[in-house]
Amino acid sequence: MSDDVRVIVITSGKGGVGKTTTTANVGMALAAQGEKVALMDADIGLRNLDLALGLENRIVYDVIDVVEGRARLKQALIRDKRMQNLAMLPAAQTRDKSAVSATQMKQVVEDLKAEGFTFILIDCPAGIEQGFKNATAGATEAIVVTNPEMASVRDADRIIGLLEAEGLRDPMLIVNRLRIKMVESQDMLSVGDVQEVLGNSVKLLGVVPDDNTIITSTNRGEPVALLKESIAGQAYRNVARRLLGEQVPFLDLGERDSLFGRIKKLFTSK
Amino acid sequence: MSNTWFNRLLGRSGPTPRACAKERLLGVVIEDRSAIPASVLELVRLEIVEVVKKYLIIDEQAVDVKLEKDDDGTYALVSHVVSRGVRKKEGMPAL
Ligand SMILES: Nc1ncnc2c1ncn2[C@@H]1O[C@H](COP(=O)(O)OP(=O)(O)O)[C@@H](O)[C@H]1O
Ligand SMILES: [Mg+2]
Repeated sequence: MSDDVRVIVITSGKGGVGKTTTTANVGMALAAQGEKVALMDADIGLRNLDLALGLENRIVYDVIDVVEGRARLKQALIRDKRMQNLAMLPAAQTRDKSAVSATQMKQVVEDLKAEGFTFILIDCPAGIEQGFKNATAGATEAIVVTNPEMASVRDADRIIGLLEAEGLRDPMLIVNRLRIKMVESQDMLSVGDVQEVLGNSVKLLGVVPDDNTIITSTNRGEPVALLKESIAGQAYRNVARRLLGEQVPFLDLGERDSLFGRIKKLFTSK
Repeated sequence: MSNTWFNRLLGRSGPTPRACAKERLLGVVIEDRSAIPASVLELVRLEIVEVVKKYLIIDEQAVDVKLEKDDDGTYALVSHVVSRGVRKKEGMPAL
């Protein structure tokens, strides 16, 4: 039964592109669909997921306490009061990435599986070093988050190569902070452009607009996925449904372009 | 500012920021993946110029060398040379 558990690492390479925001919101949206979700903050030393979820005041133990035997996993897990079937395992704030090994992180994931969760989402730190290796160790699927911007797309490409080396093939792609007006005025990369650069081994999972409500809701500790009227929230809810196998049409956020891009490719490829 | 849009419409101001970004990214990404640095490609380019100009009249700036990804996932070294004609016989090295 625990083989059905989906263990997904959320990566990007570059920092600040929206991994933590994505983890919090996709987690909320999956829980709202009735899934039993565990969110693990693997950014040891730079704890953030607690803030995105508004759970920072409830932390007693963290993942290092679990690994080093000071707490049981159940004690460290924080149940969300708004969403009963969502729980978070906090990162340690006072230690650094070398405090855990990939083997230990893998064991934590195994223990989470045994708790009966159906989804385990792992918020990966930026970079390509030990923290990345730890976060990917227990995962069987990967989401790559990128912004439609040069450095972020380049790093995403690098991460895709490294994920492959870790045995995580064909990652899913979320393009975050898209500004459709800028795409239309030819000032910003479109979703189709990003896909073309990253190649067709990546599958588009979602497109999230650049949206001020993400900032205001993060400030309140309320993920946008909970806000019915938020378009970014809708984008995250769509991601959750796609993860569950539903065919959900993409919001009109330059998707026309990506479709056009694909049609164009059909005609230009030999 | 508003002039840029108008200029673009008339095709005056060159490639758009979006097109630049895509073009540059396709370049760096293929370089990152193949692990062949741009400096090596430039050396290859310079030698191709030396060889080709023995036989053809070329504009040295119009010789371009780049990596392209083939459908089977391997990399192809592609050079594009614009020639303005064949050199006169006496200019050529002995055959
Ligand atoms: N779609 C978006 N629109 C606006 N702001 C965003 C969006 N996604 C993320 N942000 C903001 O960008 C910052 C970095 O996001 P975060 O999720 O912490 O990135 P990472 O975990 O990759 O470092 C945060 O302040 C967050 O609120
Ligand atoms: Mg983060």
